[in-house]
Amino acid sequence: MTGVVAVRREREETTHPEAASSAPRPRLRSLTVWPWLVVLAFTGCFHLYRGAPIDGVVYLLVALALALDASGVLPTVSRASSPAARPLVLIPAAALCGVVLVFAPRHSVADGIVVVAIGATVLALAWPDRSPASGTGAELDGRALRRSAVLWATASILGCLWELGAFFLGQSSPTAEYDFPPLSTLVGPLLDEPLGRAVLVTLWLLGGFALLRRGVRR
Amino acid sequence: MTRVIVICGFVLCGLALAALALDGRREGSKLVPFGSLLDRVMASRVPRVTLVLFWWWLGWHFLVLEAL
Repeated sequence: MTGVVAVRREREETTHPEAASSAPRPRLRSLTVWPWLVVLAFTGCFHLYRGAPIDGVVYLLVALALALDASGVLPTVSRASSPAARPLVLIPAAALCGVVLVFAPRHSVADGIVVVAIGATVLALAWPDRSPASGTGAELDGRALRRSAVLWATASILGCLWELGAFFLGQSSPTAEYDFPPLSTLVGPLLDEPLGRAVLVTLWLLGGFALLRRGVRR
Repeated sequence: MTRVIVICGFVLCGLALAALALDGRREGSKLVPFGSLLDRVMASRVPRVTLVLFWWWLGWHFLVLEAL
């Protein structure tokens, strides 16, 4: 029943974006909250299991912060748009970060500082609610939207399961890791080459820029 | 042989995502464009922060992690 109510509210938000901007924050039981929290918690636990405690703690802390926010424990963040989110600021900053990431030695302290700074900045920019993008609601066919969401989620989850399968099957020995290479093992060597590194860093930064520009009125 | 199968699996996933993106842009498609789907998803805080975190982690994992 609560799921039906949550779906109905989400539909209303889809067809009336202006209502979404003034609506109360989604609760834990909403379909836009709990499945994502499960994904974050699962990913955090997996990183702890695979021996990457920093990754695990980051995922679990973000999941905790979002859960507290959805429970109404955290104060509401102002929707005022930050000057740092403007393309005139973001593009030169991303270009500067890109230069450091491409030319500094891989896994260097400079790489670490830049990537941590990028992480802190993008999470701060992504956290506040924004005015919904124009055109995210009424003209979209609800069935097509749901079908697209299911197909994209299915393909993404299958990719993650394939990666997990390769990770577990390749754990036992170097020969097994060669036979069942996870994506990191395949992509990693490209980053050791200057050209590959420049291409992948550029794609990564463009992807982040595109994500930050999505869902916002432009 | 298993190595080739694993790599083909990753390639197939990438092709499936590319096909979904292309189909969404086609006239008369039963799917919405990927950008519109992303706009809808990114309008809510939890999905937005989750996707941004996954994106950031890629850079962290490939550029920084081995140093630690």
